[in-house]
Amino acid sequence: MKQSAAWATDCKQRMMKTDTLSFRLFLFTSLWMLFSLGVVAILVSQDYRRTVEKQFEDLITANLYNLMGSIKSDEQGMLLGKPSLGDSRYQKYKSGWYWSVSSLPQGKIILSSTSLAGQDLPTAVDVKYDAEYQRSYRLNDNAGNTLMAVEAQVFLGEGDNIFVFRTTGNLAVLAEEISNFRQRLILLLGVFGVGLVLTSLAIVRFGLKPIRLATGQLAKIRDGKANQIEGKFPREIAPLIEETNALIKSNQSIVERSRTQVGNLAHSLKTPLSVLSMEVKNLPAPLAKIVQTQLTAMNTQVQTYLNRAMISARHGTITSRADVNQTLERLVRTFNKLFRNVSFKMTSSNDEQLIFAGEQQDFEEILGNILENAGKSASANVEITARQIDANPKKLIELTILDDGPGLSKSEISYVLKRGNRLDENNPGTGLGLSIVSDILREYKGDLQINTAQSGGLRVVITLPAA
Amino acid sequence: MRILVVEDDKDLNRQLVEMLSEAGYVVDTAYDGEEGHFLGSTEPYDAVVLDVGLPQMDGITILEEWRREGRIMPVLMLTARDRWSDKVAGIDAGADDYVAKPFHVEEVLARIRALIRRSSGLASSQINCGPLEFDTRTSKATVDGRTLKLTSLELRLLSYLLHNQGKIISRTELTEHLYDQDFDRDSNTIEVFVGRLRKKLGVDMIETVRGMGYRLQAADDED
Repeated sequence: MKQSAAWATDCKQRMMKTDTLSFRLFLFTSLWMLFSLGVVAILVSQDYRRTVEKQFEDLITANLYNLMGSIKSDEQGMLLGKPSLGDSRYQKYKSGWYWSVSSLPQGKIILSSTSLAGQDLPTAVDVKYDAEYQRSYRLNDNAGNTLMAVEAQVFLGEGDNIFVFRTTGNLAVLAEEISNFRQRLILLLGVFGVGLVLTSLAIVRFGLKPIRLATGQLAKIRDGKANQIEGKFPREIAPLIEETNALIKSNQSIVERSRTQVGNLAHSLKTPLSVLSMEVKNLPAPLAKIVQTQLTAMNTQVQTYLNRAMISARHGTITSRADVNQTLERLVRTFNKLFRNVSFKMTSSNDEQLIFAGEQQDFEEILGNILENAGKSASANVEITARQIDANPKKLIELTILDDGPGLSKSEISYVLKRGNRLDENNPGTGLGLSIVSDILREYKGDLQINTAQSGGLRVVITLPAA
Repeated sequence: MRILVVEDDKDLNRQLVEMLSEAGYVVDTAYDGEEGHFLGSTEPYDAVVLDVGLPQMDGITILEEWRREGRIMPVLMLTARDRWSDKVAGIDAGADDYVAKPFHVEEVLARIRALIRRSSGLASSQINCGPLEFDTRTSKATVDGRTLKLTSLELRLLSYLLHNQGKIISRTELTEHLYDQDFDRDSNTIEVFVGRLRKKLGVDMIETVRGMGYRLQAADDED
């Protein structure tokens, strides 16, 4: 049930998109097919009507010849004969099937079928006789039937006696037959049309499957679940896929290269800064102070902008993932080595693999700075907890770093969160740690909260996007 | 105490050497990765200041090689690449501590002192041995509260013996740790210095172990 609902939504989403290649192909093939089927229906039904009408006219003409053959004239010009056309409809009252013989020029009916029952049927005025003095036309009888009439002028007997022989047939029969045919035709063509539309849909879906496949793979790459577009693609789009893969690769190497260059820049600027700051002690006092202040400012600037460059160099790169537990283990090992008097411990609340949706280096930078602060303020222990939280629709990683130091007051907390501010002026540092953390967190839309734990120590809670 | 400085920037290298020498250390120096690696592999150092970005062979590789070879001297990493990922990589490669450039003189000195102390298994910067007290930060030595006036070589000798209390130290080892690599090593001079130091200490703490070397220990610690 759930599955079919999902399928329906999926279909709806796919069908509703009018700006797709599939839709265009589908729309144009379907429209063309429906148009052709319509034209075919019109042509076939017109042709059918012509054929049927011709057959009808032939029947009436045959009846006319039959009539003419069965009537003779005697020497006085009197008509003799009892025509029986072998069709009971000529007997039926006002059936629309009539025959009559009239004389010219008066037009008086001399003989007629029982069905005519004394009606005075109109005759066509503007329809010309052909070379054999024969013509056909349509007319209406008194009963409202539309009739087809075939008429012939014939010399009979001695002298110039001209008689007009006329047979008619009721066109209602024809109309019914044509309408039946048209219904059948529309039904058949309709079924055929639906079949064609479905076929074209299938063709479009099948034909464009590789493109959907590629789109899916690209989405995977964007989500960091793949590095390259993989799979076999048709010859037409294979070059495009290859080019895209090459582009992704070159993009990665460009990022890698700029990262190296940024690192090199850091190195090349910081060594001279070191040399200068060590030389300061040899300068006379007032100058030394100015130089030292400026050197510190320069270092702060270099540090800030290099960090920004490092973050933005990586931001938006296609693939980046970091295993939280592994990275934390590495950091804990490092910090236990750096801070001999503080024990760093890590607990992972659930066994599932936690994956940070970002660069490992950024993760290390965030945690490194926080753990360094924790290590400096802790008296013996720093605890790190990592867990995944489901904040619909996203998944987040929550990291809690708790130390057993003296903690900070609220005003102290807001003070340290400002760029460059430092509470502890005795230990070396730039005061940039937390602002670097904030910069990185902003890029990842993460969050940082600092408060004092019940135990009195400082608790830092970081939330980051999970993969 | 003998220290190796591996830094490719000539000025910074000179400054580090000056600073460490002033603080009473014997300093060897290397300007590129290969030379630094060679010295660290062959000479006994009490600590190494190692830059990460070096020509020919980078600091991380050097460090990994040393640790593979079983060289366990404490290493202070100097790094311009001060992202945590760089620091973690350095520590993982076997560094004991790091200092990010640009740094303060005092910071490097403090960390070197701490590293040497830690590697000798000492907890504080104050080293005691019976009536003898030695402050590694100020290089001030006192016996029963009386401050000793020592030359820099005597200071180095005392500091080395104090960091290796109770251990027998050969003349060769002393020579290696008290002089830099270019010094014309003559172990007889060591005897002269040990003699002078004994006189200045006034208490019999430096024992001569015949045929093996010297041992510093408090009188009541003796077996």
